[in-house]
Amino acid sequence: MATEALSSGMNRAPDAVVGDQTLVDALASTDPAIALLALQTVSNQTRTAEARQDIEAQNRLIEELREQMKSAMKRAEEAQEDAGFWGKISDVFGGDIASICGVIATAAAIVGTGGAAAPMVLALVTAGMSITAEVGSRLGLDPKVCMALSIAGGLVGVAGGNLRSASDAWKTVASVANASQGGAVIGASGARVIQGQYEGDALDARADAKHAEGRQADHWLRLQMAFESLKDAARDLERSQRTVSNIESDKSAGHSAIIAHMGGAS
Amino acid sequence: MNEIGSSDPMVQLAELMLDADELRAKCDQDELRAAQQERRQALEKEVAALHEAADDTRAGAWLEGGATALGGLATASSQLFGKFPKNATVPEGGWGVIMKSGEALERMSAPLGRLVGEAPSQDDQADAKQAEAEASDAQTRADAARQHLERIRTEQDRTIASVENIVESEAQGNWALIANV
Repeated sequence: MATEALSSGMNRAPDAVVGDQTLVDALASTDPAIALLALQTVSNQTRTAEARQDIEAQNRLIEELREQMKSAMKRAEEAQEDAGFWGKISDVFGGDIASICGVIATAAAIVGTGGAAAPMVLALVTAGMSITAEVGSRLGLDPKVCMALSIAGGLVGVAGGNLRSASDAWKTVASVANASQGGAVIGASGARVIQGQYEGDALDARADAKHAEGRQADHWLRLQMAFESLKDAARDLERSQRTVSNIESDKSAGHSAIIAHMGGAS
Repeated sequence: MNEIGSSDPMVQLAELMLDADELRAKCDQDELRAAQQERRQALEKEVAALHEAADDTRAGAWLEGGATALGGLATASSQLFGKFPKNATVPEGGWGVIMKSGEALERMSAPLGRLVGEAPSQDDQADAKQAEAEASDAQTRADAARQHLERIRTEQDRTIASVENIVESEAQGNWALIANV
């Protein structure tokens, strides 16, 4: 029957020829219901094919965006690791090395000035203590040991103040140590700039990942819409089939009733 | 809108129900579109805020690093090239000024970096978080609208099925009457 042929034609592959012979025959049918169903089937096939194409395209785009997101997240992670590394370098240069140079410079200045710069002893102890705190906290050393070392350093500084004969050499040592401290600070600043660059890169990569995530959500929405369109098409077709089936059934019932009526009359 | 125009009160009622459903579905579609648009805008805002945070972080790092480097350079140069009077730790003349300025610059670099880089960057990241929350809210609204739309479609199906049953019953009744006349 034409209705069955149409039903089989509706479930064809997406690339099925819309105007195939069954549908052409049905469209040419003298029965308006069948012709209408055929018309709706043709329209439905087009809608279904479009929706399927859309689903495939959206799927492909979602995959691409997933890859983009993965790569952006990887970039962010790598940039964060690099920022951490350069941050440590910056801390080592600006903290430990600069502090050690500062302590050496202070000690040498005390010795070089023949102990005249008494307040510098305090500076030495303070610097020593700051190193103790930093190094101790970073390396997990016993703070008591570090404290003892810093106090010993201070005492050495005081003792060094009595070595007046070597004042010029000590002054040179102090100058070199101070210059080294400046150099360490410059190194630390360079590392800090690189750290900042990597931190910025990490944030940019996170933003890229977010952007890809947003676009992925858009394509998900379009994918869902395409699925809904497929579902709508199937629903419309089902309704049309039911309606045509009812029409045919009514027609048949009508014929039966007329025949029965004629039979009764005769 | 439906244009069935039946004289049957049940069919008319179903028609009204379908019209109401259609209106509700249209409202849901509008809500869905608006929520999606809002989500998209919030996400764009979040992405822009994150890029701004990145720029601020870089600017802060450059300022902090630059100030520290300049300070370190000034200190080191004054130590290397300055002339120190006896028992003095600060070189005489201009080098002394340079050394002290360098030290001041070094001390100022970290707060400057925080002021120009870290603080605005944190602000931008807070803005990004807020935009993320807005996007999440919009997404929830969109999901709710979609679910509601789906429910309306199911209700429409049920209404249409009921109308079909009514019409079918009426038709069968009519044919039975004709057959019995």
